Amino acid sequence: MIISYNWLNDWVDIDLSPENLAEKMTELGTEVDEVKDLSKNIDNLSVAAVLKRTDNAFKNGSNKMLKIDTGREIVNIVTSASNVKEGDQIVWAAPGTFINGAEIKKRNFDDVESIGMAVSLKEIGLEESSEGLIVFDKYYKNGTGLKDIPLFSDSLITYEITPNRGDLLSHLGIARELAAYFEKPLKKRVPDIDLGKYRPFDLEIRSRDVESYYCASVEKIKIAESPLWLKIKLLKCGIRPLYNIIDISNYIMLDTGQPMHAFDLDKLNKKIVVRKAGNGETIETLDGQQRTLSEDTLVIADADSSVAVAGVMGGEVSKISNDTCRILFEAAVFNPVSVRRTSKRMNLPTDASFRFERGVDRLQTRHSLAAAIDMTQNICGGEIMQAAFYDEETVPKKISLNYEKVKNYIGVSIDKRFIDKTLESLGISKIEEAKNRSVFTAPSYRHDLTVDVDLIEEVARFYGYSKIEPTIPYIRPSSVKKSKKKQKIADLLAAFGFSQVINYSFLDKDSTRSFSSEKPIEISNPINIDQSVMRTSLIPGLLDNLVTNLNYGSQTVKIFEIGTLFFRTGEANYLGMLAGGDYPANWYSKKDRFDFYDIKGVIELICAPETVEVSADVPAFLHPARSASVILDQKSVGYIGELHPDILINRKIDKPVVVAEINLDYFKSSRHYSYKKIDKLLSIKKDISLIVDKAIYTQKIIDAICEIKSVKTAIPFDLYQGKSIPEDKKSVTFNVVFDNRVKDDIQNELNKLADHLEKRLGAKLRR
Amino acid sequence: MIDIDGVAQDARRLVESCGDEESLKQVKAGLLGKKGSIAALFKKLKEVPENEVAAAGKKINELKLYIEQLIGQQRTNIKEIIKKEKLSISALDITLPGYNYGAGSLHPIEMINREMIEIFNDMGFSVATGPEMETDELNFELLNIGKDHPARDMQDTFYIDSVKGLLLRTHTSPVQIRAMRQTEPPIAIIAPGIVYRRDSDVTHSPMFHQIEGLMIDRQISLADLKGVLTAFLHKVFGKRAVRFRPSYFPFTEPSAEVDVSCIICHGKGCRVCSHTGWLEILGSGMVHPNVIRNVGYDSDKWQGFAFGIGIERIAMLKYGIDDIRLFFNSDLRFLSQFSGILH
Repeated sequence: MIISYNWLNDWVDIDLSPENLAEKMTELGTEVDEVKDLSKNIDNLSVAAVLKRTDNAFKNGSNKMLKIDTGREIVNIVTSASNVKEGDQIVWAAPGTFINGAEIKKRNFDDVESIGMAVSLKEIGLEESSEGLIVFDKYYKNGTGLKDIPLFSDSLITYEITPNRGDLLSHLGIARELAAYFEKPLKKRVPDIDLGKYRPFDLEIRSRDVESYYCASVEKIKIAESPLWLKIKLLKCGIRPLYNIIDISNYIMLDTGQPMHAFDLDKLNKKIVVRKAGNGETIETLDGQQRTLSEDTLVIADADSSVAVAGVMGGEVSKISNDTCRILFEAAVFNPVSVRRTSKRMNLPTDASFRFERGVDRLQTRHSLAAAIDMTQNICGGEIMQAAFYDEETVPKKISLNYEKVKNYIGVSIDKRFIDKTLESLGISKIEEAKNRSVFTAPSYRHDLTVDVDLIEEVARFYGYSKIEPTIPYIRPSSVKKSKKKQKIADLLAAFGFSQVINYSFLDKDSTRSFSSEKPIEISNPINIDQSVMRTSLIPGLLDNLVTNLNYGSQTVKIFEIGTLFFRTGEANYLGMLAGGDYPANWYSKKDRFDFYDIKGVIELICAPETVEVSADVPAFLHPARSASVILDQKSVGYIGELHPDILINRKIDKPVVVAEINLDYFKSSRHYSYKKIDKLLSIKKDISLIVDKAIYTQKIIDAICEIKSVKTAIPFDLYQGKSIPEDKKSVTFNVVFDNRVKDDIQNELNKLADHLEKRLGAKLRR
Repeated sequence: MIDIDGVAQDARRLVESCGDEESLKQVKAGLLGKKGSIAALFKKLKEVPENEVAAAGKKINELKLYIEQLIGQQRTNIKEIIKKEKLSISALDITLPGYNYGAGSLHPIEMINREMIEIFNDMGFSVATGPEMETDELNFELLNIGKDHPARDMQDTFYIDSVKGLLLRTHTSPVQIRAMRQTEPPIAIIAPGIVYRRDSDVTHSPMFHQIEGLMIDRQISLADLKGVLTAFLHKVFGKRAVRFRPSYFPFTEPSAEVDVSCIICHGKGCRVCSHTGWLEILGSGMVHPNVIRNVGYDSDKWQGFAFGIGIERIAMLKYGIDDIRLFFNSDLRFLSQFSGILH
């Protein structure tokens, strides 16, 4: 909402500069986004009169020469605008003036020297583009600086009005707030009108969604452009002027917050009925759209059909046109919820619906209509012929306030007199008084004040949040222990050279499908089609990250993500890892690519001291012979593996990419430790090599070795295939640790082990 | 006369000049042997007056001991030198990098998140979490945002199923509702997590991180809110001016927006703070009695405050990041700037 500082001064005397006012309003809870000083654009601009206009003097046919009186001298300027005639007063920019950063210089047009420039509203920052020059419709002495004309020398304050404060969406509203805080009177006279003295207009209210409805007809009016002052006032507040009646409607809305509508009375059939639309009823709205109304849409209708969508937009049929000469001006208040639903359903947010949704002052309706009619008669002529009005009966809500609670809530002791004075200045009336508790009613424009804490906020605002002395409350200790599982895993992975990434939780359907068999949850209103389903795997995101980073020139990509996956059965916390590109260049190993074990090792560390079991049962996007599913406590918790070569080829990746995806919800948050007595006897270590079938998993051999009772652990440390070993065999060497108790007949144990492995796996011990 | 000092000096020079065992042996013979310097000195005793002989003899003996000591010391030195020479054969290029996995990194959002959680943990708040897919009831209605409330426009929502009222939570406030429904007051929790709003540009991401907090007890006031949040902001941004100003949220009343004096210009006004000198950091307020009642608490007995902070914004300010999308692009050129384990 843009507020003009000068316009605000029409309502209340402000002693603060625009900047200080903005600061104060922000402290009072109405945030200011921007203060724009218009006078910065009008330095060196002044009023000048056109003495003579000469057309067709230039090669460029659209150029005209104007001889002007600047108040100090008579000079020639050249312009291409055509809206000026002799005798007009225009705005002249002297040479040396800066407009939008560019200096105005003397320029020659076909031997005519143009001294300075004639200015349009665009040049002073009020319009995006202008059709003609500014032409005054009121006399100013030639040479008068624009800086001395309040219409131009103004500041615009952009407020961010919170949705609860619909009452602040006007100059009156802001003025009222300031008047309350600075204890000043509102000075502008609120026009009134006795509608009863005119011939009654046929008005029928058939819905309870109407809080008030005032209308009056004005006849013999003339539709034309608005006077300059009105146009400029609207432009300052960001509204494009059209013609007088529309501009007056908008002016009133900006002034008092009351949305107005004017009908062409000749296009209305006899009467106004405010009712719910019939099912399937249609209307063409002012924006030229044909719209079908639903049964709960509130409409303004004449005797035949609807002519406006109440509180949202007028109808095309009864709109004001150039030859309108009789109008019906409407000022009404409709139920906020009704307007909001309609505007949402039609996807048609308007300045009017915005205000109605936030609540318009029903007691202001008649005054706004009176002001609109006043202006109409001043600007467009005409006389009032008919009128009608309706007011829904309401009883103001009583709010009981306990003075002790004010202190309890704010945390400082605030004097009862201050509380009463503050509420009174805000128009909140005290209707009952007791020692500790009074009863108040809020003014008709403050829809946000309904319970005691609302009043407490008003007191706190006016007392000043900055004056409340901070205190530290006692927080009772909690026994809830925070799980640091994710944190610790992230730290471990970062230490192993992985960088943490965060991808969006939404993905496109196709990539979701290729990485998960789960049917994904769909978003009904995605921002775009690439983000239309909730992810059921972290891998598509990580793979995208790999491709992006390789394109950015990364040689090695080691990344991980800890995030949520979304299944139809619920949400789950997952860890995703990916290693791809070149193995980091180093001087100590020949390894140049990642493989399965690079990630398996890390997963084992995360699970330790539990051991990870694996099985070869893996999803289709993984390499069928170089991947494994991860089993913990007999549950499958995810997988590790190299991506299937087909996936790599599609993305033009030439080195293996290893990924893992693990469900972290299966992991314990903390571990219970308990001490076991240390076995002080030295264990016996023996290295044994054996030759087995190539296809036998090493884990199977380890399991078999451990089946010998005296064996404590067996760790593989050498793996060999090649010369001196049959092609279908491999040699594996283990470091086997035996219990000290077999110290004396270790040879016997080794023989037992050899026999066992032979029987179990067909393995031959190499001695 | 007998020149004890001269011999001692010569002996020392000779012994220390020996670089190996062999030369030391020769020097030793020259000094202590039958024809050595000491022997020569003893011979000279004959020329010494009778009454001085005893003293001179004592001095020569002391000199002999001194030389023996010198030789012993030099022998040890020579052994050390030889050992060092042997070890230097296995010398390493100590400038080569050590074996490691390369520098990984935590996401800047994770770092800020941890920092903030820790501050609140230290104050006594515990962490609560909840699902990212929520119901309209928990995300809006129980928080005093009815179906037709204009405040719904403040949080543009992604819907999963608008009929069933399933959506992606727009804030972590539903976690507060869940926590309050589960436990009796008093309560002091923070709810960190991912939230979603249908909005995307340089400063808005459709997915971002939040930490919300809630404290309910018998007499918790706006002054307490100021105290807790001021302490928090001083820890995060250092001791700088903090401003509380009235604002509006449907679930709090009174409400307060909290600003800190701009960390770039220190309040003078710059582009980052839109020339106001202040940075909007968090929203807060006294929990609305409707919300207190909605979770089944007695609003005459229990009151307290709630607050919410956007993590990305804090991270952008602290690290000088100008585009929110960098957090979600997974660009290693960005992420690797946050490596180092002592963050």
